[in-house]
Amino acid sequence: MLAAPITTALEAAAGPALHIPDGFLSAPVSIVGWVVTATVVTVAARRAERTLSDRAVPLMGVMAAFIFAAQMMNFPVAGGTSGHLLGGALAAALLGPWAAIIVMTAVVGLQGLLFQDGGLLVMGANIFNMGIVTVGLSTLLFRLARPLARGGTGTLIVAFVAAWLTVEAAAALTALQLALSGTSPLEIALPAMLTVHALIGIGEGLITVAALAFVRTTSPNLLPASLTSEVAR
Amino acid sequence: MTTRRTLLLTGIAIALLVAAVASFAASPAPDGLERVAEDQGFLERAQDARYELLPDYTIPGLGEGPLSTAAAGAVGVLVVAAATLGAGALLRRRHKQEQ
Repeated sequence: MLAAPITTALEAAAGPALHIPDGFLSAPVSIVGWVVTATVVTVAARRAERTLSDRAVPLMGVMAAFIFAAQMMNFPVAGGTSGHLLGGALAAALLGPWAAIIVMTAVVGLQGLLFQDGGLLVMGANIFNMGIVTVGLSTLLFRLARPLARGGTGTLIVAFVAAWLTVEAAAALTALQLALSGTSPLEIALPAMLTVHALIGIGEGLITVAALAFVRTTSPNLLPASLTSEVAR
Repeated sequence: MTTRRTLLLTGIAIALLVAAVASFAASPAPDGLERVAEDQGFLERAQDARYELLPDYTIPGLGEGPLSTAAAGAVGVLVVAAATLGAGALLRRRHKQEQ
């Protein structure tokens, strides 16, 4: 009676997050994922090359290490389900979009290569969903909400909303890819993914705000400029 | 320079701490995508990995307990940090060469 749920729980811990395993996506969807991701990462590297300061390099390393570790920290949400940070909004807030895309690519790529967390064929899609879309959307929202985000509480509220939306966007894209692959029909996959990730997104928002508040307290020079400046550092 | 080194060492220490806490405190419940895959009956489509290095955040030989996960997490933190620092340094060097 007791053994079955425990075994299920242990097996579950071995499963994917928003990390898609090989087998869920069709070959065409996987290939498009790789092509789009490779293109965006190449552009990001060129742009980061021009805008990156010496000071930003150690911060990139720290953000990658922290986001990797924080992604290990699955937190429970309702209905015997868990979720974890994606970190795209946090990385974008502190590093600007181009360096943040490099950071997210390193995290998601190495999770697949070293830890078998996320498939290799679908890695392009995983980097796109969890790295590129989260960074791109949060950067857009930070810019739109710049009048509200000038380093005070407004910044943290904007960061919470942006972080929540990035999780929903990643979940919606994953559902779309599953549907295009013939794995699960969109009318079923989309509401299911959006509902469960609406809860997980609250965790994303809280962790993002906590991390930004921590950075603001300990190294305030890292935060306000990046959230309010025109040019990504 | 000192500030940069402090930032790097403090940040990586925090990441190692988070990975260590996660190794015993993380929820083992299925996560969002896995829950949906299970409910919608397509979970069995997941293929096994082609190879295994540190499968499911454990070190082979150390079992599947928190200690093994903490060690695998520490390896991950250091490799991810090193790879990103390497990429950042490479981009900086290319930038300087172009100037």
